[in-house]
Amino acid sequence: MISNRRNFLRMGASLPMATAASLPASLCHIGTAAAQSASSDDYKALVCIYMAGGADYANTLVPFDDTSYAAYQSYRTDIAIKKQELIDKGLVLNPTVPLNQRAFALAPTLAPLLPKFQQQRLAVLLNIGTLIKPLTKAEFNQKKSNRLEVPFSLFAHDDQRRYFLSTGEEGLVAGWGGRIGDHFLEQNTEPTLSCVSLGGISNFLNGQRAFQFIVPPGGPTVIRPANNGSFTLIDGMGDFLLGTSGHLFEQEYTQILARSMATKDVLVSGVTDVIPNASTFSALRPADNDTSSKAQLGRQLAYVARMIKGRQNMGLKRQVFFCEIGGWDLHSNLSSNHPTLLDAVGSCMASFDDLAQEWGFADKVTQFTSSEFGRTLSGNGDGSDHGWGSMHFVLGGAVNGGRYYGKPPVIGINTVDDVGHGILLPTTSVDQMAWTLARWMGVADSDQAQLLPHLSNFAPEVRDLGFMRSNVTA
Amino acid sequence: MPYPLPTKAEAARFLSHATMGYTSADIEAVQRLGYEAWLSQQFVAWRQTSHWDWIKAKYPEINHGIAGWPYPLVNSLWRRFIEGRDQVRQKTVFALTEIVVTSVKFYIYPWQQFMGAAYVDMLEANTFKGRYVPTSQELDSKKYPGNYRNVLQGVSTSLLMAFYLTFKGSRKAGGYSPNSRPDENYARELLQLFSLGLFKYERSVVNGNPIYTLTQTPTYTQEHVTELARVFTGYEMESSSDLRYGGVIDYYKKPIKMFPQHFDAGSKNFDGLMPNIPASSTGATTEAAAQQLDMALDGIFKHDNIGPNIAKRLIQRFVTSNPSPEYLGRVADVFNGYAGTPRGDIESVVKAILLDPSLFDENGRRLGGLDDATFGKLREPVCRYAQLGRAFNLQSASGKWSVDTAANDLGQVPMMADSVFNFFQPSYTPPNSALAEQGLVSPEFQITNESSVISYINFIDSAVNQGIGNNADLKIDVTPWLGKVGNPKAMVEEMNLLLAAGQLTSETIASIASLVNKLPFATTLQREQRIKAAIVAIMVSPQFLVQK
Repeated sequence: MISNRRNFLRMGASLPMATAASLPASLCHIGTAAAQSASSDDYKALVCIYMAGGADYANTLVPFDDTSYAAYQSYRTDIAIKKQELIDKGLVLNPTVPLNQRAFALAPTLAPLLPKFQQQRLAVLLNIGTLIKPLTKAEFNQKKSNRLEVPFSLFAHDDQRRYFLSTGEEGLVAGWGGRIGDHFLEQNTEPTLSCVSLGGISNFLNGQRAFQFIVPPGGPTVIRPANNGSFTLIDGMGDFLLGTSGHLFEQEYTQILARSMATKDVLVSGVTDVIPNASTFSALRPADNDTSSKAQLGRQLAYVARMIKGRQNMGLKRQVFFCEIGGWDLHSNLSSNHPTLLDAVGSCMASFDDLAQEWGFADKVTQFTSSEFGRTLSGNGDGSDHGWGSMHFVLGGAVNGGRYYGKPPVIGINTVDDVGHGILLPTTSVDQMAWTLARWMGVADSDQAQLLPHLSNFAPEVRDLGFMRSNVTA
Repeated sequence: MPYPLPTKAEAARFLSHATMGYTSADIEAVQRLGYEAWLSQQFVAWRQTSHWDWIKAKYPEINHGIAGWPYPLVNSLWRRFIEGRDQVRQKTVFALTEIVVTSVKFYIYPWQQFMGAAYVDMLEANTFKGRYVPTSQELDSKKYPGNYRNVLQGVSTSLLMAFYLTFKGSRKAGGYSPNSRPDENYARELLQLFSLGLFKYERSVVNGNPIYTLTQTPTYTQEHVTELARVFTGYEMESSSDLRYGGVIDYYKKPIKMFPQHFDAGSKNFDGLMPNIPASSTGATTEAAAQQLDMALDGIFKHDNIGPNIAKRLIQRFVTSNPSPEYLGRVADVFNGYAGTPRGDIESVVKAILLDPSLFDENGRRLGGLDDATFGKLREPVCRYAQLGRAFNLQSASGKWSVDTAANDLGQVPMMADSVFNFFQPSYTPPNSALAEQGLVSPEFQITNESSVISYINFIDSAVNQGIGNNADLKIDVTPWLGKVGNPKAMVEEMNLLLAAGQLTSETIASIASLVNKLPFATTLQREQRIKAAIVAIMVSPQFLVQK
């Protein structure tokens, strides 16, 4: 009844160029990956944690050196975090590569990430945002309406979300997570599970061939036994549900249904039913009726961990995951709401890293944060407005952590990095973060231009930011 | 052009475009009156009990408490969508809630069910002019109930919207601290989503037909947003009116109050986007703030981008995801007031959408688009359930319409979109799809994924078989069908008309009939099961799910 699930992957499109180094011949065939010996566990995964709404940079990574803090305090007043609190809680970061007369502290509720930084598992990316090419402030002011030079629709949620997750607008509907996934579909026995979203629909995981596969954090949705006497929907599905149709909309609907039904069994049997210990990994074991942001993200990451733990059951080698929590668009109530959101991200990311170590895959999985944009430095009374550059985190056993990457922005208004109200002109591009992660996953250097077209606008020596350890060692 | 009286199937198709759902009596009425006369009756149909009054009456326990629980409002919406005889108004109201979006989803606003009720009541009051006759001054200013200009006014002064898009508490520059600025959230979404849209349209006339072509030029800039945000300053809620501090519930249905000391009364320069607003000559007063709001909304309303931007969204809600350029052009012109009716007149726009020539063949038969494999839209989940409810006489045993959270599995709950961008965007197209290859959009697919399609099957199974909601409060009534189960094919054909506007193929009908035929039908319970099996099978079929 359900035709070979592999048909749902468009193998018609040409395969991405692969060199011998990136795609061992023995892994070229679908289905033979499972034949690999159980001891060879060459597995890698990326986990994107998307903060929907625009993540405020200034109250995430708080400027701490005297000059920067003074500017921060004067423009934020009511919403500024107190310096003494940062000192008292030991939140000032001490990087392995010091900044020149600059310092930052983690926001108080990001405290769970502090030990990760100290253990050199957490990297901090400074002033990163959507860019087509490097821009000075003068160039930005001159060219801001030129869509070939400056990302279009800079302060609009949806456009910038798409841009951040795809590094482009037109013609690049496919997200860079999916485009990375495209390179590894053949290595996975279940190509449909190459790109998995726990956080709902987004463009991030759609590649040129890869589809995002949506799973709720509780596991795949299954058809309940029918309520109607002897009539069972599953038995009776037949042609009217999965039959062919000439209408394009009907075809698309049918494909989604078929994909769901085909893959559900794999997940139900493949994802481990071992769950994280409640006391050691409390962030990943929220109560069923807990609807907080922390619980939502915790559930998503818990399922990711269980799926990764079951990777060999399902013959999975390379995966890209997407998780999301909303609520970051804090035009108001920033002081009351932002700490709760940061606590969610910090606790869950740290707990996931702890669990990954316990379950033996911490050096195979890299988490990173994303958001459509940062926010203004100056407040509007009780919140901040849409911005651009922001600060993001990368965490995992393979990360060259304990330090910053990128250029620390000057904090203030009318500075070299300010394009209005303390909105940061990014000095590092999303493309660079994406490339660093892609290389670590195994995408060949020769595929760089195809994967991230704008990257060629950046100097070769900075395209890989260097925050993944194996990328920088020979 | 007077259309010939429709056949059953044509009437059903028209009703699937025009309503949240229809009964066999509705089909009969459309056949008897014809499209225009039926629509005219719908435009003047009486409004029923307001959401505000109904919630107060049916949920008295929430009159005096913190009560952020929003479901009384949502339940009231289900009530009106399914029971309402003014179906075209209900469909239009639902469409408007998906354009001028606000939400009661996150339990964070006090008494949001009341503020939400006031919001939807405001939309309903301003959907059609109905029996109201605008004065000549109102026809001139377009500020009459039934005009989108009034919708913009109501939305821009709504207490719920002020909470939702955070202009409540926004103050002129320096209003909180030396460097504080006005909140830009509402100004941005007002321009982007509620009126003009991100990109400029250019109007031309091709073979006598207006065509609005989308360009790559942005309609407005960040500077425009910042400038417009200055108009939305000074709005705040009096703390003494807060129900927690002894206020009265009726405060929550009033427009948000102006505190003029926080209003930015200076001149606003819109640099050609719309007329500049001069500084108030009387300083920062409540009147000056109202005048500047008026001027700002007039400026936005008179920008011709509003026609195609809103027309496109409305056509997508009613008829098809990919209207032809000619279809869009005709409706946009009606919205912009270039087709003989007042600019922004919603009845005229809805009529233009539902009776567009492209929906008819040269003999006036409503068959246009039916042979086009790209025409139509995936039915919204809300409309699927409303269709079931109307076709099969859904009843609330308690009278409280306690759907509550049961519709979460349906995949869409009215007034509970995840964001101001609605449940889905006008431009969404599924990745790696034949639709994408052909440059087509299908907004509703944005909420259609491997998980939601299964949840929907489970929902329909429950909704049809046991009923849903608190204590299975909402059940359909299949008694009129008990005598028909002996002939499954005829029964399914009749349901085809009622649920799917006759759009199931004969193969599908045969398939479902043979499925039903396997079930016994000796006892009443077994007969009910036959009926319900047929309904469920139809409602999970892609041929039903895609409305043409």
